[in-house]
Amino acid sequence: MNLYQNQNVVNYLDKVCAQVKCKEVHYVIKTELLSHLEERVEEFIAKGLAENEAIEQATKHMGDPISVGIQLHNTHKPKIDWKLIFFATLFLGFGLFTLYTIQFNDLLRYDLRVFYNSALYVLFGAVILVLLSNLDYRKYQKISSYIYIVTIAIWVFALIFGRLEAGLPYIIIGPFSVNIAGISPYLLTIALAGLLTKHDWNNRKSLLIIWALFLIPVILYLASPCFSGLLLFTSAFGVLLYLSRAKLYQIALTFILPIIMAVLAVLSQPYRMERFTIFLNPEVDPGGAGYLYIQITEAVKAAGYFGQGFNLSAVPELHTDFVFTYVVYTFGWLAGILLFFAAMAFFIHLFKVVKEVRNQYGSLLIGGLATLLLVQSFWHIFMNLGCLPITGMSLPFISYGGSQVVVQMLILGIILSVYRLKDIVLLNKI
Amino acid sequence: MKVNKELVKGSTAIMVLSLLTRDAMYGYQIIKEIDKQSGGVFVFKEGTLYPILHALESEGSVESYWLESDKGRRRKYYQITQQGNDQLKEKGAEWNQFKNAVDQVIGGIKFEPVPKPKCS
Repeated sequence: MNLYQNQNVVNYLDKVCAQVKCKEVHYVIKTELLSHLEERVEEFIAKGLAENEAIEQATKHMGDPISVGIQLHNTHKPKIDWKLIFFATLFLGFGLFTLYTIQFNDLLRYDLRVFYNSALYVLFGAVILVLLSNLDYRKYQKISSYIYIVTIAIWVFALIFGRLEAGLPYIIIGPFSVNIAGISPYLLTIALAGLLTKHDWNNRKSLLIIWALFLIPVILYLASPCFSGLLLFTSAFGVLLYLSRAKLYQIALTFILPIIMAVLAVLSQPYRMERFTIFLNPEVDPGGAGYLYIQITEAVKAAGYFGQGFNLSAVPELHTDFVFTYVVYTFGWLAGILLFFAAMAFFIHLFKVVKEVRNQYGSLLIGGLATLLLVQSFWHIFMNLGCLPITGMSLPFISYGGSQVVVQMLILGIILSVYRLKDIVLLNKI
Repeated sequence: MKVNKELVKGSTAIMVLSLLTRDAMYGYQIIKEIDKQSGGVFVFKEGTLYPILHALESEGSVESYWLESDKGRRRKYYQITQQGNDQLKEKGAEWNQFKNAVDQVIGGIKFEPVPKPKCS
């Protein structure tokens, strides 16, 4: 008995699903109820009813479609992550306020309307965030391998033919210049989340593929060279391996080779080692490599609990790589500590959500992306206190980032879209 | 015999879970089983079983998988999990307590025997 074309049955199923707001589960619900109706109808026909009458009786036995639909809707309600929205508003608001004080106190060494520009980018990012949060994130999984291949291809192209800006390969698309090494951690994490979902860790051959997928970007980061990107990508990759249930020794094996490569790269060129360790002892070269470290440490030391006001001039790039130093110096230690704990609370919340999400792809996707934000935030904070080597790391949501803020809000949109369906177990089940 | 609606709703989850301790079942099969074992007392609207099943699945008490029958019909089978077993023990104990309390209160009163309900 096939009833999927019967008008009464279709009407009944449509009425049920009209009540269920979460569209992603409609197909599964319809399939299950249809199967039930078909069995019921067959039984009535066996008892001697005519087909039409059997169908009418069967839908009657099912009960009022609207009340069934409402009950199903209550079970499969899309969820909104209000905590994330609260934190995002807090950070973006504080970031805009900070940039406002930088712009209107003329604290930059060049003319840049950081507040106005950033406000525009945040508005644009908000539109993207809202759009993405309502999409079905499972659609990205299918294009994972394309995202990976296209990212690598553009990157290689930029390395060979692109323009160098501040030592990094850029690719020019119309009026935009794209720092491909800079945005690659995000793109690769999205791609690898899909590629690692349901990965069979017992298959040796496929283990080699995973290694290759990891090593190609590592080589490109070293060739660019982009240390911050390498650090972000490697951390996110580690978390992806963990979340996809790789065994501990497999994670260790994956990381041994790049560590050896990095060590060799550093050893082969001693100046790199110097650049890396100067933060431990900046006084060795106060006029050169140690200069910036000394300036930051002094600014932070001078801050006091309530700050020194709007007059920090010894540190460059206040609006990007040193925004946390600026916040501590200007608004004081208390503000810095509050911001630090707010960031901690935000990430604790994010990783709780990562654990709660039922769908493995969803969990990998937001786990990897949250790791990128986490490593970037805490590296920035400790670097701004003079405790880590200086490298290009702005503070997510707070620094003046231009297109980076848009990318960060795009990540929030993806996290919201995963959260929306987090409790729904009917996904990908047929 | 008419049984209070709320009473049915609250106990359906327990009945479903205890049926599933024996075997994995699909929705229609569960309805048939409840009908058979309760002697036709629980004639609830069949559609309302699915929100209950889906809620149990959401909270992790049951798991599901799809299988095709010989006739090519796709059926969604539900299977109890460890968490479901624990929940059943807890709810079952609550239920027994409730049942005993009711028995104690109304135990002193003598009722006319109720005629055996007919299957509808």
